[in-house]
Amino acid sequence: MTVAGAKAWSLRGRLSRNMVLVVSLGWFVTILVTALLINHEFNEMLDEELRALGDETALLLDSSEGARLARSISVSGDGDERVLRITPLGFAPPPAPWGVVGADGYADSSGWRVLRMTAENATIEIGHNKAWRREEVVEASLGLLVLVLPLVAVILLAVRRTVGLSLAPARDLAKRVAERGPEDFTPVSAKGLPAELLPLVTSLNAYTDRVSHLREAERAFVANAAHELRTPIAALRARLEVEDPKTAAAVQPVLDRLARRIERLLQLARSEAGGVLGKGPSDLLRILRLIRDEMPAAQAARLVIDDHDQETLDLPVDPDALAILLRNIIDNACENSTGLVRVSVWPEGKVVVENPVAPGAAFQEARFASGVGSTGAGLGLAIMAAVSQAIGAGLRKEMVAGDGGRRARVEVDFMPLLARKTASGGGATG
Amino acid sequence: MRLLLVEDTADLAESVLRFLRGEGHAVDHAPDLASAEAAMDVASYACVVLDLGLPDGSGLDLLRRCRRAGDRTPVIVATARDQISDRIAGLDAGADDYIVKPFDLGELSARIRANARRAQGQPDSRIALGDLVVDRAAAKIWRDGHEQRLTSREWALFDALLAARGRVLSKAALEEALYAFDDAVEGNAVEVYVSRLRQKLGAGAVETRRGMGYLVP
Repeated sequence: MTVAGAKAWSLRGRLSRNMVLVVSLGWFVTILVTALLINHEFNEMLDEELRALGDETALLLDSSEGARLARSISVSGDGDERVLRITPLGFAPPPAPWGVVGADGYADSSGWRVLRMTAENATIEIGHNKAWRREEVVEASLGLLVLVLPLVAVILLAVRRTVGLSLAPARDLAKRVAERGPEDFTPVSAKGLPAELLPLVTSLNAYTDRVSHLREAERAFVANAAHELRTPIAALRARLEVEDPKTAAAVQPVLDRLARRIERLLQLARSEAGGVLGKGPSDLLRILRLIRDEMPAAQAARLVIDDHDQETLDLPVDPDALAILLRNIIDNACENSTGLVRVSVWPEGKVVVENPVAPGAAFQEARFASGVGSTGAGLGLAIMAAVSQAIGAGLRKEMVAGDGGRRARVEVDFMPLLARKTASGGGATG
Repeated sequence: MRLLLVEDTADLAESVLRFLRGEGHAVDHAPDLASAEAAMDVASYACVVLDLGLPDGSGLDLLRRCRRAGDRTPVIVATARDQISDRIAGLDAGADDYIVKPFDLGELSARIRANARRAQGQPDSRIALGDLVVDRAAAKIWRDGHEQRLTSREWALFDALLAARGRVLSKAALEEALYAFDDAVEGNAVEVYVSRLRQKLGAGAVETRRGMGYLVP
């Protein structure tokens, strides 16, 4: 998922990662402290072993005939783990892997832990190779680690799973909100949500409620504006027809233009305010025929519709949006055409409107700009662009030169909408 | 034709009434749903022109109630609502036609005649009756190729008899087609108009069934 082009971070991922990091750190510190404790306890235990060996040796010297013999004995290993040196008084000390130890008691010398004792006219020195001691501590610590590591892995998986389960309501809420259409203003259900998410849902519902009211107000305004603006024109026109038919005939085109401009301004307001985002379905061909029925007879006679033998063409789009789009394209074509206006509706969801135009004619993109001789309000193209963009239809306008002269061609591509309908498996009725 | 105009805008209603009455129709006016329902309960109309935005509700509700009750009176929705969804809703509710304000009164009149003819099972506007040719859409009659000028009341009576061609219409039924609720009905008006029609169209154009009424054969 991306937001404004940047990849959004995952709450679940971040939480899992941080939890794993914290738990791993905790375990590491625990193992480290445990190793230090083991080291300390091991040293104490081995020092005790030195003391016990010293006491035992002194006892043996007391009752031994060979007590007057200086010697250095490897107690275990090849003389590189534990060594015992006995030096009777007056004798030169036999060789040992540590240096001279000046006083009784424990001492560290040349990588050895040495205990010196004086007993029965002899000096007893017992030494432990410190490298051997370290090796023993490391072995004990590694043994602990081997036991703990699988447990750590299990805990990490459990953390990830727990985080996932704990975040499930948030994920479910995000999914439900993401699946809502732009015209769905129903409140989001707060059932089963944790207390931390409730303010979010409450605010979201208040916001959608407000938008919904604004949209309703906008719709009501447009409907009322149409009624309030059209009815006086209708009354004026009818009064003139009854009282003064001659003036009525002269004024009628002006009133018609006024009514059309009001209609287009309201259409533009509606489409730009997002009032055309309904899902439909809409039958394009039915709407096209209704548009033809409401056109003045002279204009309708110039309209040729080729429906390619289709009865209906359902689109997942707001019927009013579709009608506004088609009506503006056709009105624009009729206002600027020098001949017939041909509307082709293709089954794959493409509508092409073509009409011959005068030399030099061009699409007037600027608002309120009309072509020479056109009676239009100069809003048609703006409305087409706004509506086609709002509903997601493609719109292409071009002037093409052919054998019959210059022609205006407008193509509306509804294929993306049909593809969306097929993908969602949506039906349509019209 | 006896027509009902349901319209709450007084200025517009007044002009439409004047125009349609000028064409010889007997037009009742209902400014709201309640009076429209009351009028439809007691009179039979050839066509109803119905606005949607009325002070006491939507015209569509009246239309739906009528259709549910089996009333097939032609209804033309005349409204300022120009959205296609409104039009579809109106047609789906049972409207026979839909015209958006501002409209041409001549076009409204033509649609009223066309819808009334369709409801009477006579979609063709041109009818040949012996030496007479009648264009009901244009409200014109030719006798032996010469156009005969009828007053609006004469046309209204003849059109009512044409709508029921071959069937006898009582004097009361013809009066109902000729006069709206607030019109003063003259006692021998039907006899006077029948007499004038015979003078202009020929003695056989309208036959009398003594004690029963009149018919166009």
